[in-house]
Amino acid sequence: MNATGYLAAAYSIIWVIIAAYVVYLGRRQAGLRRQIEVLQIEMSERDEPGEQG
Amino acid sequence: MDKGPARRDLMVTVLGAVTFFFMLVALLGALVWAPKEATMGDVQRIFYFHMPSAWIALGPGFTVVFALSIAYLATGRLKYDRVAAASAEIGVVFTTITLVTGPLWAKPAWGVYWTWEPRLTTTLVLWFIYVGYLLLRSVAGDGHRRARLAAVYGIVGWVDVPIVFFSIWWWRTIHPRVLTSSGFALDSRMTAVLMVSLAAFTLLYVFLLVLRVRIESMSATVQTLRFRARDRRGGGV
Repeated sequence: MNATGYLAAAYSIIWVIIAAYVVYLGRRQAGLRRQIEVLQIEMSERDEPGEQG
Repeated sequence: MDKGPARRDLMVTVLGAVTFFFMLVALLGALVWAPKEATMGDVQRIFYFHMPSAWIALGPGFTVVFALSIAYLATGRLKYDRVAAASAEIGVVFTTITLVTGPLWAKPAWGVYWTWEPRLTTTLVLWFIYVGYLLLRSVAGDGHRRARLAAVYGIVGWVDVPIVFFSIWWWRTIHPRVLTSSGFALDSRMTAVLMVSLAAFTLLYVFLLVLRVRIESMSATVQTLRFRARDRRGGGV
């Protein structure tokens, strides 16, 4: 590999690592947001049992 | 209606866009504006992202872990522990970038991908220390017990940070000394590009920290909601 090859490899790897980390954080955040919504709905349903009967 | 979360989302998006713009400017600076180095040629351009990655890891990344670990032990506030955890993970990501880009620069410059010289060796040790920190957090349970263990580890582990920084002055090394007592030992245009790159990486650190701390806070919320749900189930029996 020549100098340009090493340069291209280094910059590609940097951008891939950063992009992968941002995507990973975004997915984790979306997953947690869903969990919070589900738990909040469960809690509110349990708070209003009278409305069922 | 509470406009707080929507406003925070907008601010994070704006911060992300500004960070991305600065990163593109830094990339352009490194690949186009910076002059070609006389001895190493184009491969020296790796330096403009390699050095800022190391700066983020050693500077804000792990030093924030150290400072907030002390703050947690002094106050017992879990918010310090959450930011420390976030900063440690980001520090590991940037140390990984440093350890990957270094050998890609070393091979054409020194003829080898890796040599056990002081700066490289202490940086690899640093990476293992903070991977250990993250592993410890993943097995140490929750709450104050985990926070206390992680804080002690975060303070002791930080000892390697000044060793990495000063290793090129303390021991014989082939690693270049860019920072001297009279400033950067670089051409003025190279220094300008490096400054832009350092600013872009610092912004990137802030952006990632905001995202990562939010995850820590959301995890804490999930845990609180689960405890509450369990309590109610228990109370209802």
